[in-house]
Amino acid sequence: MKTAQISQNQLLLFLILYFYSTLIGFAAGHLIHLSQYDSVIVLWISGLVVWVYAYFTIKLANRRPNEFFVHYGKEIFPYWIHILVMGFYSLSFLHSSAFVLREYEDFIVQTYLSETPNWAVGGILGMVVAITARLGIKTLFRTAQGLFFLILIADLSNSIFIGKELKWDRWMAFITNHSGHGIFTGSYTVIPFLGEIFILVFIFPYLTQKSKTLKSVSWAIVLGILLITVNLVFLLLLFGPNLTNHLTYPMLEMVRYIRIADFIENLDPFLISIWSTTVYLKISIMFYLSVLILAQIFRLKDHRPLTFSLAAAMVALSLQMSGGTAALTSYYTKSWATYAYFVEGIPIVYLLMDTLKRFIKKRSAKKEEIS
Amino acid sequence: MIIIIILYFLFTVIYEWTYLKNKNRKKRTYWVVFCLMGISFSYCIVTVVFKHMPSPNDLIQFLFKPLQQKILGKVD
Amino acid sequence: MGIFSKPKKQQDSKSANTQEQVFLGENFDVRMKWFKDTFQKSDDITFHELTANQTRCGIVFLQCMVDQQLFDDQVLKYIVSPNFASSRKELFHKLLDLKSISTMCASILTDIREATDLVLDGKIIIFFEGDSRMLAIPLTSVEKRAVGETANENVIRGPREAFVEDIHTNITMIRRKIKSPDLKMEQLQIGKYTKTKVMIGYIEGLCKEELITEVKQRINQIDIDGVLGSSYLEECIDNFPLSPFPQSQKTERPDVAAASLLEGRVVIFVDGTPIPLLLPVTMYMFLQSAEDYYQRYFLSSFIRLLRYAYLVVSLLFPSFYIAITTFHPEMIPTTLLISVAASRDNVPFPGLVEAFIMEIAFEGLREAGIRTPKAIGQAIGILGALVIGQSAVQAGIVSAPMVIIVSLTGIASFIIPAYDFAFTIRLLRFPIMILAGSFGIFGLMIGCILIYIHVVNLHSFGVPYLSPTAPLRPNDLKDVFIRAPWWLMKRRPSFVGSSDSNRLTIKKSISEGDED
Repeated sequence: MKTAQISQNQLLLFLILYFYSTLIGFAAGHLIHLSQYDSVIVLWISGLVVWVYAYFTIKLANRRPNEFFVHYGKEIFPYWIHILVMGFYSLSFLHSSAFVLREYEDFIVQTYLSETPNWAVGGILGMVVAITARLGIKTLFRTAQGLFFLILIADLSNSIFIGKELKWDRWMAFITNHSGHGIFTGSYTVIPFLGEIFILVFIFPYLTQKSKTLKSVSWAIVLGILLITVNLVFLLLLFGPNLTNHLTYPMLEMVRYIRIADFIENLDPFLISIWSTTVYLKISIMFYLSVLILAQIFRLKDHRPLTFSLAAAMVALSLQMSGGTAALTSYYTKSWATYAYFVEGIPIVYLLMDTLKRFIKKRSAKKEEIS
Repeated sequence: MIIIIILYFLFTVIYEWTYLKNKNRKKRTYWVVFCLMGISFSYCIVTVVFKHMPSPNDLIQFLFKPLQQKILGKVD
Repeated sequence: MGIFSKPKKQQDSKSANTQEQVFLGENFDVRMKWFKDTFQKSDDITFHELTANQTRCGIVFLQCMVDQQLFDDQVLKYIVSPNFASSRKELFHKLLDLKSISTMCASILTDIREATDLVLDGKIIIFFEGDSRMLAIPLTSVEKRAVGETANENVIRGPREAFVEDIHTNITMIRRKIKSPDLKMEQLQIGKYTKTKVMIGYIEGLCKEELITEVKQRINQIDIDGVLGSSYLEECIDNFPLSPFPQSQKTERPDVAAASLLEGRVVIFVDGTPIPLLLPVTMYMFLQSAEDYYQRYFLSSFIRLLRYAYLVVSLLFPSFYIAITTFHPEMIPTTLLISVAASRDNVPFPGLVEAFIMEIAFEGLREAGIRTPKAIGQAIGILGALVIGQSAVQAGIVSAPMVIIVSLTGIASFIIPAYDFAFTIRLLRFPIMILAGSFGIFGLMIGCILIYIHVVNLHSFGVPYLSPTAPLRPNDLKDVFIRAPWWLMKRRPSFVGSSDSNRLTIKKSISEGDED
């Protein structure tokens, strides 16, 4: 199997989009609700924590840089436990992709296509995701590379045009209004978001120049958070924390504020569709990983034959997931973060176990040497 | 709805069958692929037939909601 | 040297075709019979028997492909004259061993099947009683079209000449531009019946070795009845036969072919086609025109950016219009919205159907315009403009904005220099229109993503279709969205050729002189 396919540059751009996509679109309102003007601090704290976390995951991956986690994991934990964990991961990724898909379906149906049923949107996007996943990870990352500049331009122009609408006198609040509890709860929910960087463990063998991974990841965290911060600050300056908190999709409302010279009244469908591509990327990578892990559990030569059938399951899962947006939001705000900690904690457990085993081995080797 | 699902899976079966045949895969691969496809198919049908099935979200919520509440304190 | 190189090459092509050889020995009658049997019922073949120096001598050739006058003057006259040789032995010695006849590239062969092939290729075969060797004299004279002006890829400042059907003329045009022994032209023969000459041209050292072997291998795999155009080969050597995107570039301009050779690409000439194939290709090459390199770089860059803009227009404009009018009317200013809505008021069809009718009508008009004789062409124009444009609007069947949209899209698609690529874009417009009609901007986005991931995944002979943007190679971007001035493009594009070595250095003294 040809493995080294993704350049570090591609990884960097992809990760920025990866952070940017859902955090901005779906989670911004909730984050501002939790931590108000502290959101900026929260973001950077989370960034720091996630950097430390990423350091350890990369350390784990670097132990066996050319092997897949699914394959080498059984050296660390007993075979059956490992297979169970991997099965759980496959389902978990499928669930995450379905979850994002569901969020997106709700978003599109509520804002633009009020007469279209959820399943049509989900089905068609699911198809695209399936095709992307089938084409493989190389295509996915190259796609991200091309889309990145488009998205950057869209976001920047958005920021420029929105600039004159902002209420700059609010900036004082960034310095004065603080709340320790807000920072804590905010960070608690944002960390697992950025912590989704642990997908690195699964795609590590695909990377080229593996030694530079940490550098790219650091840059991705910094740049990604910078991008998100700008958007969040704009949101706060535009609407203030209370209004933002009550809007379902604050970013959308912000984009709707744009008016260019009284000619283009509303750019939002255009900008939103560009932003949508990032969501699509996120769903695709989640789904791809789910399929990849499943294929590796069953020791198939490639993941391709599984994509279409699992895509159907993903769409079905996204539709069946919850009764409505309210239930979805409740799930997201009340329990998702802890669940994500659990999911993202597993690689660390593996790392600990591996270190422990190595340590024991070394000791026994030493003992043998002595004896 | 069910018809769409059946059509989709019919297409998938034909497509994957030709794909696997072209690549000369082992018999085991066929088994794995089509078993998973069957599972996925039945899941799709089940979701259409029983609209109000407990979803994985409920499970996660059941497991982690109390924990998160304990950590963060009651958030309204 | 020409004498030796030619038969050797033909042997190469022979082995590629794997035809068994036939040797019939020294007997005259047997061989004459073979020729007569082989060319049975072919009245355009001339079999001639004569005696020279008491030796029976047979001549076989294709009447209409041979310059008989020249043959008489240059060859026959000497062989027949008693001064040429005194005995049969001397005749053979002079003719077959020393080749003392006054034509170039005469070759000697013993395989009679090869001889029949050569007759069909327009050579004159002479054979003698008492010697198994035959003489093939290339006095082919075929009517060919003179080198004319380009018909489709017109430029303002560049050279005007265009390729013609004859492969030798075409290669001459390339050789005249690139005078280097490193320019190689390898000949292959494709087609069971047509035995078409195919030349693979490349510059040794610039072109990747793997690329050349890959191209040769793929062409050799083709076993086809006939090759009447380069497109026959093109479809057989594509990496992704199911893709709507063209995976090789075509040109009718020798300068474009030469330029692509200099970039390290391979050019495939096919006899009988004025349009060679250039391989490998990236998407951006279809948006470059020869003109870009002859104009000043400001102008070229501007035009190139314009082309990208119109590429988007050509692909998305009708769909965008459909999406906006049916799903997102809030996007356009109120005054514009009112005027659009007013003109759409009495149109019975939904936007999607309206757009489809108009687009298909336009495609029909365009196709009719190409195929009709010139005399009727004007009538088509009037029909199109009046009936479909004005009357349809007045009758209230389509709305005026839609006519504007469709005509703008039509114009946009003609701005793309490569015809086949423009056609692909035009075709892809229809599925996107359906998506936009059913899902609005979301559908539009889905369509774009689908096309995008397909294009990202495409590659032509190992070169990704979207290089140098995905995967990104910043150094090669100078000639993609803009055309950087020549003095900045110091290195060859690295994604096609073998090395990104220097292609241009300007000596210091000259540039300093410029500044003074």
